[in-house]
Order: sequence, then structure tokens, then C-alpha cells
Amino acid sequence: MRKKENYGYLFIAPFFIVFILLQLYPIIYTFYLSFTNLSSANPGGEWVGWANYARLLTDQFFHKSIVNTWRIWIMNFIPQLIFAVMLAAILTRARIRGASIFRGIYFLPNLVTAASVGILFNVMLGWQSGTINQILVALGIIDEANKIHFLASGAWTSTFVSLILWWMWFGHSMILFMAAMVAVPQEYYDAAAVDGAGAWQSFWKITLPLIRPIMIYVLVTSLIGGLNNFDIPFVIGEGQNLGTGGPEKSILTMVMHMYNLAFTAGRQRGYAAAIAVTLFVMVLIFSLIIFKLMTRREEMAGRVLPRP
Amino acid sequence: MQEHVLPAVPARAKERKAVKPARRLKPGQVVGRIFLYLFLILLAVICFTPFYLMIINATRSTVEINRGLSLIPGKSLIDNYITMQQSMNIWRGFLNSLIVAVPSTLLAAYFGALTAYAFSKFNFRGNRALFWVVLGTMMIPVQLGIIGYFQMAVTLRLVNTYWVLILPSIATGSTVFFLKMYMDANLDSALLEAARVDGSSELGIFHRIVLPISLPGIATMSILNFIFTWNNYLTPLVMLFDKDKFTLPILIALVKGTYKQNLGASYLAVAISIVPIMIAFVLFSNYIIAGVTAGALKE
Amino acid sequence: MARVVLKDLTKRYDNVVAVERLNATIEDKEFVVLLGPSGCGKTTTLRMIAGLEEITEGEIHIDGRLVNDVPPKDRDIAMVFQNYALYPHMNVYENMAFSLRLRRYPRKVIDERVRRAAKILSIEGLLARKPRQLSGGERQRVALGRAIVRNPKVFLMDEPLSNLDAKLRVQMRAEISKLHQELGSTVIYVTHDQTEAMTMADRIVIMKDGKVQQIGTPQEIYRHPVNLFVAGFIGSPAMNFVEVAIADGYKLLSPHFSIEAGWELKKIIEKHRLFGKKAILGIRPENLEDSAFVPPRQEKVFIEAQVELIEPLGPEVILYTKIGELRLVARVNPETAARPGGPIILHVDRDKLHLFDPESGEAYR
Repeated sequence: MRKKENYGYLFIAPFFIVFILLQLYPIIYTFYLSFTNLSSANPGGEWVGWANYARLLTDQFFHKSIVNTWRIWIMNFIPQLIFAVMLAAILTRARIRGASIFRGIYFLPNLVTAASVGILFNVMLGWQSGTINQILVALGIIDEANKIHFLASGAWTSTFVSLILWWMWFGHSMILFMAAMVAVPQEYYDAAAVDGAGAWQSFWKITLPLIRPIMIYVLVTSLIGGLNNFDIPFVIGEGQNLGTGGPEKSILTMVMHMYNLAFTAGRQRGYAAAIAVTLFVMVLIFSLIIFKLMTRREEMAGRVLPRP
Repeated sequence: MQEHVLPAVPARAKERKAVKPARRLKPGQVVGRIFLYLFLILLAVICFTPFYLMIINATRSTVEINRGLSLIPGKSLIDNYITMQQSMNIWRGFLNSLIVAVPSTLLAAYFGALTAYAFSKFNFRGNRALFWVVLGTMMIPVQLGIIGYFQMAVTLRLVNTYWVLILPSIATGSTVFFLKMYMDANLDSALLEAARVDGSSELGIFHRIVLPISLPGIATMSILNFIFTWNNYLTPLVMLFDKDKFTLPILIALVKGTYKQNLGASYLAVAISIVPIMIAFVLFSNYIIAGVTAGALKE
Repeated sequence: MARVVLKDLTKRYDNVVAVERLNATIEDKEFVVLLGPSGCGKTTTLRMIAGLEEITEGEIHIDGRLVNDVPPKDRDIAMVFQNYALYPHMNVYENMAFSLRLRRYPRKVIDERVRRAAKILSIEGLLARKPRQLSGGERQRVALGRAIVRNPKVFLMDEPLSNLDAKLRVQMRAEISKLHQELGSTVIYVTHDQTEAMTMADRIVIMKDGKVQQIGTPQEIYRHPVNLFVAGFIGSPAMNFVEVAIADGYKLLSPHFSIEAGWELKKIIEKHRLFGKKAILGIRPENLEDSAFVPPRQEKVFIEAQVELIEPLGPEVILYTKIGELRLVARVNPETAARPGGPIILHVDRDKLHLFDPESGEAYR
């Protein structure tokens, strides 16, 4: 009945009303604000055209935050991808005892509150009484007198943020790859074995090409998440305050810079909105580039979810 | 309805293993497998150790923690707890997080299922195009609109309330996506027609037929949504001003400034925020993994 | 009194016509079967009667009331679905009580009706079970029970037996017929299985490509099919069709044989002035018999043929024969001595022949 199909509109209405009002409109509003000088000094927010964007070109912290954001993401993503693919292959194809237990343990860090993880590592990375230094001493890697003041070093801090992200995310990606690998029909491997391929060749010639759609998915979602990185770098830096960006500002990310500008002293929300817009454009461009470069259309139909 | 639960990965991996005939390993392969297991165990240790040490250190005094590493619990849990409670009401944060996460999860489940039902079973014009919009919403992080959202909340006098944290859950794209796939596979259209003939109203069909049948899928998504809301940091950080209203992550982040001198109390506070999630994972890991995996189905 | 009247009923999807100007009247207490090959529009018709499908054009009247815009729940119909459509999360009792609860019947009435229906269908022992704990036959009964409790004006059944195995199907066929007699309600039943239609229906509506071909009792349709489609669709094995020319003396001439028309056919030939014209002759397999078993006093109308294949079915034997290029199927006495490759003389019951217009396919009658 025509009337019946109209209930479809009725049922999706709450979703779209909320989406438009609370998600889409704020983004559009943010675009608008990026052309104003809204701040504590100008609570009215007058139109300033491209001034905020011009200021971005000369903002040293902003430039640094872009570099930091990318560095932290790449340094976590490359090992994350390698570990995830490798472990997925091992756990699905090497007949490991207790594979599901390993899977569970590797995935666990992903679920835990990122803010709490940040604080946990902040405490563990402490200088004299930090647990990580104590472990290194216990293992005999360093001696008592040479404990490393991790959080006083920009390089160490940034490295640890990447490490923590790797720690939190390799299990997550691994689970996606495992699902994709389980869905590869056994016949392909049997056929390859008959043709004389070893385990290693099967992995390169069959597994990898067939899990490509999931790789793209992992890459895109990780990139979007990575460009919006906030929680852990925000809380982990040394000192009593949150969001300092660490020594040498080495973990000041784009979202953190935006947050600091918009919600701490000065409240330069117009200018901060310009950062949000830049970020948005960046996310859009890189996602599209990845899709364009790496996808063939027919591959997009996923084969991850085993049909019940 | 248990059989409708999406099969988690290992079940099928196991089947495959069972089919393969056992074979004898050569000595070289034995060494290889030993290294393989060592590697897997080492990684498991890396994944779990921080949590373990967190729990151990939560029971030790600051002096003990300063003295060095320990793998066995101390006796200062109560002292740490008292110290922690003196300057921070962590249970209040716990309660606040529940007040935000429970309604958010329920709204996401109800409206997610309703929206998914419409996309799955109603042939209205624009169905496919609008579903692509839903998929698109999954790709937009909240960070991008947070300034506009905050300004809007200020105008509407909704800052420093839980409404701004709860209401957006009505539009949770991932839930709609997952449940649509679930309903496509598990919800026979004839059931809906039978209910229509039996005399049910359209909304009645959703309540009496669709919701109960989709419950396993809804549960899967709800666990994930709950964890996601529970862990959410940026939005409450921006929106909430009163310490009384802070959710757990906001409160925990303040640990840094609060207990600089008392490490045991810091560890304890972090542990209290993390342990419930760990328990949830132990209880629901199959649901959780099914939900996480489903997200990659399309795109 | 629940009479269902379908007037110029039409259903179009975009450019496809599923049902075209269907006219039919289903009388009160009648068991009508919509029969046809898949895609003929029978299910669409049923769904339009149920209100599950929008009507493009035309009218549906139930019990004198125009119901085009009445939602399914207010049409006072009950429907049995092909795959039963039992609610998986409810037990048998709840499944059957569901529609009554929605209508806010008193608890006592609901209980009474559910138990009575369960008794009629002998499923009293299953009331606490969930659908997935039931066998196919039991599910079928519950689906019927769910319809019965409503006490509706019209039962609509959409291929309700197609998911059952052959033996159960025969049993349920009889039970549904019995049920219909007991309840005395109007039933509209959709199937593609002619045996179901022939055994259960008071009247059959045969459809093809969205159009009604013939409406009539099983006997009428069997004896007087109105066109080649109906003739070929009803009866198994299907009717043999042979191109013939009609010559003087009421001779039906084929390159392979020639027989004289029976008395009834002669009248038709005269009425339609078919002398010298071509026509299609239809002979049902059961009207071809091994001549060895024809009583001597009967007229001798024979066709000589070659046996290709023999299918013994027990009470009868199906012979696949050929005469040159022409193939004829015969249903003969099980005692036949015919052997594959051997000759056979077939006797034609010339009073039961059919003639069709080769252009339109319509039967001459």
C-alpha cells in the first residue's frame, strides 16, 4: 500500500531530524564560524572573510600540529598494519591452540577508555618511580642511576603515544582481517597447494589480494581516527595540566590545538573553527584519494560478515 | 533466538581446523612453532601487563611503588581508596557516566532499530540514497563539528546538561547499518505481513515482532554503543562545567593534577574506570567482536 | 455471508502488468483455488485481496463492502503463508492468540478459542512450544490455527502446502478440505499444483500472465478446457496436441493417422464450419488405450504407433509413443504387453476429443 510505504519515512524521521540538527548543522555552523572572529573579545563574532585561514598559514603551532598528527599516526599505523595482518594470518591459518584467547587479549586494550589509558601511561612513564623504568631496570636493560625521563623528551613522548595507539589498535585491525581471512574459501588454498604454492606464497598470492577491501577500510578508518587524534596526547603529557602538547609541543595534535584555542583562555572559536574546517577538508581529500587509488568497484562488496 | 547470533570468527576457524587431517611436524617445524607461540605469548603479555600492574599498584602504597616493581598485590588498597575519595568522588563520576551511557544506549538501540527496520523492509522512494547518507554519517567524527555544536548548545541553554550528550545517540549510523544487515538476513517479511493481517498497527509490528526478533543484533550493537559512550571524552569535556556532573573519563583525567604525590590512589582511580569495561569484555566478547567486524562489511 | 467480488482488478509494477482486469466472484462458503504457473499473478491477486498489495485499478468487495482502501486488519480476513510466518519469539499459544489480543478480546474468550482451534487441529500438546521446536507439519497446523481462531469471513491461503513433503501434503490436503467443511467459511487458496486444485476446489480460477484463462469447477475445467493453455496445464501427463485438417465425412486428418470425429465433435465442426480448415486436435493420454483392452462392442478407432518408453505407475502404465515425427503419450491398462521399441495399436475414445483454433488457441465449443 502506498500508505504503508510512507511509514518508512515516518520511521527514519527521528534519525534524520537528529542527524540534521545535532550533527550536520553543527558542522555547517562550524564552517560559518570559521569566517568570523568569534572569541572572548568578540562574543558577537563579526564576519572576517578569509582572515582566519590566512592566520593558519603563519601559525607555527598549527604547522607543528599537522606534522605531529601525521607522524603519530604513521608511526602507529605501519606497525599496526604489519602486526594485524601477520597475526590474523597466524591465528586463522596456523592452527594455534587457544587462538580465541589470544584474539581476546590482543583486542582488550581497544575497549578501554582512552583517557584512562592516557593517565595510566602518564603514571607508568614517570621518571624515578615510573613502572616502565622499573621494568627496564628489572630486566637489566638500564641501571638504577640511568632511569629515562621519558615525558621530558619530545621524541620519547611522541614515540610512546604512537606505541600506545599501536597497542590499542593492532588487535582491532587484526579482528577485521581475521574475519576477512576466514571468509576466503578453502578451495583457493587447496587449488594453490595443488599448483605447488607453499604457505608463504599462498599468503602473498591469495590471502593479501583477497583481503584488500578490508585493508582499505582499515586504512581509511584509521586515517580518519588518526587525523582526529585527541584523547591520549591530551592527557598523557607531563605536568599537572591537560593538553600542554608535551615537551617541545611534540604531541600537540590538530584537534588538541583546536580545543586549546576554542575552549581555554581567549576562546578563539572563530579561528579554531578554521582548523576544524581544514581538518575536515583534509579528511575528505585523503579518504577520496585512498578510495580512488586503491579500489576497484566490484571489490567493495564486503565479504567480512559471515551470513547467519 | 540464540542461533541467530552472528557467528563469531573462531567458531568457523575451528571447523576448518577440524577438517584438516593431523600431520606430523618435522623437527624444524617444531622449533618454528615454539617461536611462534613464544611470540604470541609475548604479545599477550604486552597487552595485558599494563592492566595487571595497574591493578597491583592500586593495592600498594606510594612508598612501595617508588621502591620498585612488584607482581604481587600490596596491602594498601583501603588506604589508597580513602585517599582517593578525599579529593574526588569517583562513584559520582561512575553514576554520571551511567546516567549518560544508559539512556544513550537505549535511544541508539530503539531509534537505530526503527530506522534500520524502515530501510530494510519499506520500499519508499529514496531508500537507497538515504541509506548511503547513513553510511556517510559513520565516517564523520564528532571533532569536526564540536565548535558549532557547542555554540548551538550555548544558544539553546543546553551546555552543562546531559541532553547534549544523550540526544545525538538517536542518530547512530553504525547501529542502523548493522541492524539493517541483521534484519535483511533474519527478519522474514512474511512475519510482518502476518502481523498486519492479524491486526497490528505499523508501530505495533515494530514493537511486537521486529524488536523481539532483532534482539540479539540489538544487544550486540548496544554493548558496543555503551562502551563507546562510556569512553567518550571530548564531548563531555567540552560540554560539562560542574565537577558534580563530570563523567568518569573527565574525572579520571583530573587524577593527574590531583594525586601527584599519591601514586597508589592514582592507579586505583584509573583501575576503577577500566575494570568494568574489562569485565564487560570477558562477558560479551563474542557479541563485541561480531559488532566490530560488521562495521567493515561495506564501504 | 462473505462473498468476494473482484472487479477489473489490475496490478502494475512500473511497466510490468502482474494482474490484468481480473473479474471473479467467490461465493459464500466456497473453496476457490487460484491456479497457474509461477509468475501468473495468482499470489499478487491473493495479496491484493488481503490488502498487502496496493491495487492499481479495479475493485475488491468483501461481503458487499468495497475494501480497496481498507487496511488488512479491518478486512476480516485471515491468511496462511507459504512459509507459515509463525512468530519465532512466541510459543504456539501466543502465536494463535496474537490477533485476538490485538483486538482486545477478553482473556477467557481468547483461551476458549485457542483451545478449540488447537483441538480441531490436534495440536493441544504443542501449545507451549516455540515454532522452531515443531516439525513442518506441526507448523502448518499452527499456521492454520492462527487463522481459525480469528473466525474470519475469508481464509486466504498462499501455497500453504508447498513446503511439506509429498506424503504430508496429501494428508494436509484432506485435512484442509475437512476443515473447510466444518468451518463453512470462504477460502481462497493459491497453488501451482493442479492436484491440490483438482482435489480441494469447488471452483478453480486458472491464470496465466496476469489474465484469467478459465473459471469453473474441476470437472468443467478438465472436460471443457477453453484454450490450449488450460488444456495443457490441467491433466498429467499433459494433453497431446496434433495438427489436423478437417475433411469431408468429419475426418480428422494428420499425416500420421486419420480418425473420424465423435458425435459431439461433429456438431462443433458443423457449428463452426470447419470443413477444409486446419485445427489442433487435443487427446488426453487417458483417452488413448491399448486396443487389447477395448471391449469388442466399442467402435474401433485406432492409431498405430511405436513404443519409445514405458513408465509403469502401478494402477496404470504411461506409454511414450511415436508415429513418424509425432509423439503421443497414452495412459493404458497396467496389464499391457507393450514393450519399448515394439508396436502398439492405440484406441482413441473419440467422444472425448478437443478441437482448438490454431490461430487463437481457443477451444471450439
